[in-house]
Amino acid sequence: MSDRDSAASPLLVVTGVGKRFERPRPSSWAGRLVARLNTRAGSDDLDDDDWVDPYDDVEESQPTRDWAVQDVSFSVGPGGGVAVVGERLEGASALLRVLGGVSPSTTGKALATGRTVYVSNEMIAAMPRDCSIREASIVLGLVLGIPPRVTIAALPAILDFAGVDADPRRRTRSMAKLELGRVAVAVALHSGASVFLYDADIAFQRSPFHARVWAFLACRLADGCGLVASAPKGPHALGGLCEHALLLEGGTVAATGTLGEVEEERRRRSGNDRDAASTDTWGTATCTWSLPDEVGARDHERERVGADLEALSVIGSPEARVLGLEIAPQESTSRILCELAIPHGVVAPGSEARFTISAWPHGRAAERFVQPRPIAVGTGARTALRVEIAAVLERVKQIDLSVAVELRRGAAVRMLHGETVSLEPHKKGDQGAVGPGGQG
Amino acid sequence: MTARAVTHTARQLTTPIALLSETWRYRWLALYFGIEYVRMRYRGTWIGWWWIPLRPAIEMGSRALLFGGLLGVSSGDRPYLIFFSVGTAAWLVFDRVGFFAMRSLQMNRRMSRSAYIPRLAVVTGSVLPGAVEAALYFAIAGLVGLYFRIERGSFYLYLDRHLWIVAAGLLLLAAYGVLFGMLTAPMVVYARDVRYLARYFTGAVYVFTPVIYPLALLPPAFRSIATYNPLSAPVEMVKYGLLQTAPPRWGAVMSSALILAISFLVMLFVFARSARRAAAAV
Repeated sequence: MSDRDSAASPLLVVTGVGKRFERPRPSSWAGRLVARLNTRAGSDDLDDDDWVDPYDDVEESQPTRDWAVQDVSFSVGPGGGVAVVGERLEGASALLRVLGGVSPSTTGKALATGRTVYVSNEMIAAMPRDCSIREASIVLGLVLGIPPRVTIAALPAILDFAGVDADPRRRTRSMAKLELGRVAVAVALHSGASVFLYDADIAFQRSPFHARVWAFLACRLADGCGLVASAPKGPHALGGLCEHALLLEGGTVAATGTLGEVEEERRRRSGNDRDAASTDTWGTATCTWSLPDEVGARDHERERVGADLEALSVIGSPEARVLGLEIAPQESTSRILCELAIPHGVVAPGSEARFTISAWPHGRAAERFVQPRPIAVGTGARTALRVEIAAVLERVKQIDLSVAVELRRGAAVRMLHGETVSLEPHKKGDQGAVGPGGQG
Repeated sequence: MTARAVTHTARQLTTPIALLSETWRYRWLALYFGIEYVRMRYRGTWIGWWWIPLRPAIEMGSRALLFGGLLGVSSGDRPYLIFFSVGTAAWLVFDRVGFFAMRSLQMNRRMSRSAYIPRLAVVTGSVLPGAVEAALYFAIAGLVGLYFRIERGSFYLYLDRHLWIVAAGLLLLAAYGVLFGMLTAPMVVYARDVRYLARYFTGAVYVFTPVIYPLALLPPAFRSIATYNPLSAPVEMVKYGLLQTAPPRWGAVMSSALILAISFLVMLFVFARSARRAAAAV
């Protein structure tokens, strides 16, 4: 996995890292004493000089095994990404926390060139809750090792990235937790770190912000940074960002390899053999989408362009179509909103299909804008899949789209409606359809 | 940012230089913690930051009345209020710094669960609240001195070339406070009992430190204990620099500095390990 990375002076080398939870042994008097001490040291008393933390949420966690992670080794080179795959509580987040220095390791070591930053929802706890968002961002920046002047200078970009339409003087108490979480992640991403340790199991997964984060990380990888990301829902959630992956089971590395190999292994081990064996891939269709020249020239303007994407019908179901792309140019980034409509009857009730959309600049498949996002369709109802892609559109004039469909074997496919969606551009002054520049 | 190889598994900083270097890099974070510790003193109160000057004023007034007025503790030819203010200001540098340093890891455990927090920066941030309280007491002493300047024609505070001795004494006291915090903070994470014991310990040390009384007032049997108490010399330095009291013995000053230097070096090693274990417990 790491040969190429090692040869290119790796950014992060992890050797035999393990993290053990110290659990008391209630059977012995010493263990009971330690347990009592640990319990009592949790909360504050009410002495006059005591500081009572209103956000004190001392948790009595009960780990299910002694070792959270054990003997994990890998390396990350410049521009490289490693996905840490595993179900919940298999140690992916624990590994990232150890690598980020949040939790001390028990064994092994990690050598990093440059700075690593642990990016997760939990960073909200590092932000003061009773201050302005400006101060909260500065404090989080201090925690991440960023001087205050750097955070202040980057604050407009951070708030814009977070999609928070807030006055920097706005109090954090008035913000929703998700909003604050986005700001925290935005600060971490703008920290100038060399290696990002991204815990993908965060609250705002499957949201436009998540896609924006993915695009940002893709740019950072192109700049030579490294990425280690957890993927509790499977490596497919990480798309083209991570070429390599390792599968954690019970805290130990069960498999390593490419993303596809690890995913296959994960399915096999999870007992979903029937899924693997019974899934038919209908096929994928790729088309090239040519953007109008005016796209990107105007700010804060939404344009809806569409095309007759009959090319996608090759996937076997003429009913699965990409309805169109909604482009919203915003300063240096633009959002591409991709809708995939699955009309009623495409998939029989009770069966399961997965549709995946991904996009990338024409001819540059390595620079995927968005990770494949499988959407399970179980009822046969009409489903609209909205995927928001953040892209620097002034550099991109053609976008390739790929739609892949996987269907569990045995499911019936019926065509109840012969819908054909004809997409017309709604851009003012342009009556012609902006069609695909090529067909896949 | 210059790329450099960093062994950063839980930031295993086992050398004093690495620990101090990291603390310097995170100095702004230490300042933030210091500000937070100061805010804690009035957070949740109705009159807010007014408590910052109010508490020292009330405490000093009541204690000066008790020791100077009722018990008649002698302070030489200077008003006891000024003597008490200066001595207490010096003591508070150690006491407050030590108090917040001792509790620093525990108070910030929520933050340390979500991101890497340099432990020594958390502890050293405690210097600010100690400095703030000491400054308030010095300010009160200055105001009282102004009063006596008007009433009696004498300021009783000497702001001359001996101020460097005052600065050196305060620096030693702050360093001892940080040292005390480095020793106790990891233990407090495990057991709150350490806080209670620490209070009794500092209370006993307070008795044998010439804060509210001149050293000469102590019986000979206890005077040597007080003389070579590592905190006595810095307090005496502050009082000598501002009040022109009897100068501290150089032997006591040197032994205090030497004990501090050796203890600090040892504690840097110990702290690196114990703070890491405490982080695991947090």
